[in-house]
Amino acid sequence: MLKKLMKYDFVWIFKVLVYHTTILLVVAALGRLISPLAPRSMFWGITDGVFLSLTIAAACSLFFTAFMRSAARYINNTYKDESYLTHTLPVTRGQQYTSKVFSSVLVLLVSLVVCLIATAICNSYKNRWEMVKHYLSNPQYRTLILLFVLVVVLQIVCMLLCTLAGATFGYRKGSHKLLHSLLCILLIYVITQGIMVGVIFLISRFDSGVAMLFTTSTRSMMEFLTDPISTRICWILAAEYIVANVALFFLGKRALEKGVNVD
Amino acid sequence: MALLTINHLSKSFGEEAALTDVNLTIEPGRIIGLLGKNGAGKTTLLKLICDLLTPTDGEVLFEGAPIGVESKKEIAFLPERTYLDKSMTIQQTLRMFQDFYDNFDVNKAKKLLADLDLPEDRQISKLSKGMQEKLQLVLVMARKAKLYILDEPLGGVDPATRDYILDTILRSFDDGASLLISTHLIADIERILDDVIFLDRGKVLLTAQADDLRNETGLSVDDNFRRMFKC
Amino acid sequence: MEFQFDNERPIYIQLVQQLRIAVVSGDFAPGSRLPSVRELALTAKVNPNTMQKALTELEGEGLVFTERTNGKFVTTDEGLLLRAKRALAQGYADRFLGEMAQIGYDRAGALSYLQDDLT
Repeated sequence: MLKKLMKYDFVWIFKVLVYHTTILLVVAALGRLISPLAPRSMFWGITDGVFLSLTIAAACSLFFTAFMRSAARYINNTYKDESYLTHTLPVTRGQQYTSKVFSSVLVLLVSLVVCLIATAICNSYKNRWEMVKHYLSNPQYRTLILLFVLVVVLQIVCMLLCTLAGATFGYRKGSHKLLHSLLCILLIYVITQGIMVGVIFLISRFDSGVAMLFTTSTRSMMEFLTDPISTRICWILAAEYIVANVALFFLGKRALEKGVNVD
Repeated sequence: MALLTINHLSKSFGEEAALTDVNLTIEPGRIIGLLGKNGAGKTTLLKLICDLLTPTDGEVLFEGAPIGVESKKEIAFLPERTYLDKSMTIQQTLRMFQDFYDNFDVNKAKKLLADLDLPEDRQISKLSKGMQEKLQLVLVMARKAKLYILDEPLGGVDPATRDYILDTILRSFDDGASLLISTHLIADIERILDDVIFLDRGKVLLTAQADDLRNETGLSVDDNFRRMFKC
Repeated sequence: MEFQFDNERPIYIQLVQQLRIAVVSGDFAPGSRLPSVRELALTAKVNPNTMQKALTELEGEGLVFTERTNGKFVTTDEGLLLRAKRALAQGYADRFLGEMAQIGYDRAGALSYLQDDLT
């Protein structure tokens, strides 16, 4: 049953994103075609910059829309008119919640893959490609970059889970459900991030390396990349996010299982 | 064993009590009319049976067990509102029902759709409200459920379609299945009712067999209703 | 066959009456097989339970019998059918005479009206 639910959830969330995906890839491709021309004149240089900005904007738009669609799917399906079908299907509420979470995360991962492809397309021009290969060849940089991407993904998933859990709590109220939802989402998010910072602060009491996170400042991105402490910090953050996300998942699921009151 | 047992069911929304201490039993193979004025609590009761609301007190048992996945397999609910995903086509909706309900008879659904002139490839957002309601009726009646719950199935429908709906209901009424119909268009439907329940302001005023009521009072169910709920 | 109902009297009683007429008049020929309960219910637009109850009552009167696997049949007992017919006729006659009495025709007057003045 879970797979069936996920099929319908995923298709609904992703349906619209096909446009965003196409635009992103097209803009990235066009940008790639223009890049070699950039050094020739100011005109081409500016145009190149414009396309780079457009690519970044398209990527952001893709993620933003994916996020909003996921939240919309959850709320429409669980609390609006469509819920008359959802709650009468022969599935448990736990399965409903799990399906929404898994399909939303899946959409995010697909969006991530599309972004990576777009990035690869953008940078496939010889000069930039050389620079990228240079960074990726160094194992230390490679680990760090991958970890960094992982942490960013986990952060987005965390925001998503906060949104679903917050909405579940918010929609329990009698009136102003959306407002209450936003407040709950914010509250849960702030508390989660607070706990995570607290935990890493606690760790820094025992680990002098991690303590540097709070004491020294990085003067540049290069320093961050080369400092071995950064890798350790990223591992810790990733672990924390995984724990937090699992906790948030069960929080929301348990909240939904307690029951719904559909208008 | 009774199909549906409702024990001391109460539901309040904040201060407002929508249902108070409702006790009911529904046996298999009966057509029951849930009758009451607007705001009497009929829809609230039906939603509680279908797990769309959580009781404040009391319980709803289907075949002796609390409502859950098993009861949802055997209960087909037709609400008053349109609840389908409007971005899907009729065809896709049929497939979804097939996916989730083992007892969904897709051939019967297609036949009913043809009778009602509903084209399978049309997107639901492009259907008029009346057509959407007919579609929802088809989806419910195409299931071989043990309990059909219909909330105001005849409202806002033209008389010819009303006859067709009553006909479809009687035709789909399989041995052992029960139908719970909530309505205030009593005169049209009272002929097919086995039992009636009168609900007023969240309380059950009367449960009786329709013919017994006629026998005792010499009045139709509709007249009984009007008498009881005179403003 | 056409069924007519009013909602003021128990439906099943009305069904019994109308089915009885159909049997007695030969609409359902003696010995013929009746349509299934479900079909009859659909034709009459009533609840199959109610139709079943009505048919059971007719079975009690002997006008209809059930053959386990084949369904329900009208009786072939001509004598019984005739008696039922006469019982109905008596009821109609009593009503006619009663109504005629209301407008001043006594029994002899009513009979003579039928004999001579009926157009």
